[in-house]
Amino acid sequence: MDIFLSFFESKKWPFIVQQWKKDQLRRISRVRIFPASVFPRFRFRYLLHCMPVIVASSLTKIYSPKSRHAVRALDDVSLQVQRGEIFGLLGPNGSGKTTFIKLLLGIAFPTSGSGTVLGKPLGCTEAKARIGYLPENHRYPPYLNGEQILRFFGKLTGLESRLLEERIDEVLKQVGMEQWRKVKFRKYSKGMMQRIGLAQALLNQPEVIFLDEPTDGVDPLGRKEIRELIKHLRDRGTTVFTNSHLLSEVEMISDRVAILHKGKLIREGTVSSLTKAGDQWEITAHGNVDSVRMDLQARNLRFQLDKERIIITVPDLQEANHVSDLLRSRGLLIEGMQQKKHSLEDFFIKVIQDESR
Amino acid sequence: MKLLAIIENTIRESIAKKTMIGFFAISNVILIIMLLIALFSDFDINVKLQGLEQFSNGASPLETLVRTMEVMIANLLYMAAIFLSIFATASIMPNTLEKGAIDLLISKPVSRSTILAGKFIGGTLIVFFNVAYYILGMWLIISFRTGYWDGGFLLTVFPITFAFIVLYVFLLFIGVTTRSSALGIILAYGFLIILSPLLAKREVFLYAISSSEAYRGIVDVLYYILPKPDDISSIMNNVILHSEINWMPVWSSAIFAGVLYGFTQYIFNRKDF
Repeated sequence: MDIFLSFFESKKWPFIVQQWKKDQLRRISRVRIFPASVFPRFRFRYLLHCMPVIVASSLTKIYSPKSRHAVRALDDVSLQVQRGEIFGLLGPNGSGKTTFIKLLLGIAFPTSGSGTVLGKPLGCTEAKARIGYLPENHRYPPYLNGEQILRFFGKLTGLESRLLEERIDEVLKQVGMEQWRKVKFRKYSKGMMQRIGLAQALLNQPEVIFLDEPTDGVDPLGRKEIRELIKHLRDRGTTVFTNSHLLSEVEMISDRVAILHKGKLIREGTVSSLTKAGDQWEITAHGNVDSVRMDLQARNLRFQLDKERIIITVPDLQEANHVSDLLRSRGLLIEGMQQKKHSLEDFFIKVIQDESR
Repeated sequence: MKLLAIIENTIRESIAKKTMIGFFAISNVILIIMLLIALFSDFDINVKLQGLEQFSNGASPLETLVRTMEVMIANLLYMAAIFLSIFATASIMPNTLEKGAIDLLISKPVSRSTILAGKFIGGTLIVFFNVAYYILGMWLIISFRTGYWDGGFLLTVFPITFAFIVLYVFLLFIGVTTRSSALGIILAYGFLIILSPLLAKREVFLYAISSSEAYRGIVDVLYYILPKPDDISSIMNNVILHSEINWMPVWSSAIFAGVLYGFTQYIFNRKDF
């Protein structure tokens, strides 16, 4: 603690703050200006901003632990999610994704392990006021219309009535449901239900939002809009924690992902690090491909031919440069050279298959 | 604010389900029929009173006639209201606990005790207002027609609502533990129609089965522990007749409801959804 105090009371801290602001402005919506008069509060908030938003430490959940049919839904899962991240939790059906979110929100209780959300213990009411949640297969009161649903959940969130009415207008506009606000929920299509669910989750301007299959039942155009909305939230500093079966979508939006399998966390990392295929590079060129075919075979390189185009996979960057020199010397035009990547889906399937063996 | 939101939503849910609307509609139909009878029948109050003098036990014949009518109406209403109310409210908790609905509620900054209290108060208010409306309407019709105004009948709204509350707590308990409205209805009706009358008249029915002291002891314990809707209906009659009231069934039923509510809350607080 003394180290912190001496650090913040030294003259260096304004420069550090400037740097921190630059870094966070892109990601944090509600960057607060902390005048010197509220220095202690600032110090506290700065520390809060540096803390991970979600921390899970050895979370384990066993349903009916004393029965013969005990189900270990989650097994010693530890992970952290930083502020302003889009974090994707992947896994096959029954892998424990929804259970994990339920533990974080206090909907279910861990058998062992602990965790925090926004620095508060799991299920803490104070933290829930700053959380948004869109559950999978949500069931809203069918007798209410979109606006009434938002009003009901807004009141439960503790929003003051004037602010609530403003927020209802804003979120309905955000999810494109303004013209359906007076229509009963039971008359909504699946996509519209999902949009209202999303609006409900956004109502309290959450600092962290949990989305369980957010694009479920939504058409491609709607999915694109939801993706853009999620990215917009991230840009405003909201931490987004999402579960989805649609791996291509998770790949498009997530900063980091984790894979759960049979309740265990088997992989975790940035999308780019997980989808990177070692040091392999891929060179695309066109021209007289026959002139290089023999040389490539001699170098034991894999390649695909498509009329006058050739795609060559090389083991590393050095070899990629040699090959590109060779191609140029034979008069071929290089169209592109990039580090080879798997899709997240390929990676996911491979990992799950490896684990299942 | 949060509690009010849950109460309001519970009332909306009951209205949307139409069962309470049905209850309200039946009340209106009965009130209209009674009003028509009161307005157009050739019922001559003075003729009816002539024969009643010998049964009046010191009270005026008019008082005796009106109170007897009110007792009959109140007893009919007591069973009908509780039957309909159980049917109308049994699904409140199981519906709340449905997957996708309870997750949302619990994810909000609202405690589980507020959720349960909201459902309890909401269900109770719906029944209270329905019963109060019917009782008030009936009281006005009888009082206008007979010219005898006595507030005793109005007070019957409290024993009826109280009997419902005790059974509603039981429905909440069944709802939280099993998520089944059908089971709640069956058990509540079984208790109301079979067990409660048997225990209330245990000397006549249950003691005859065995002369064993242990058996009779168990029957007595059950009687004192369990709620007593049958005895509460007797209290209701005494309220109308201005007779002396034995409060034991009220406080013992209240203790049962309180303990069961606390236990239900305990289970609800620890339950995974």
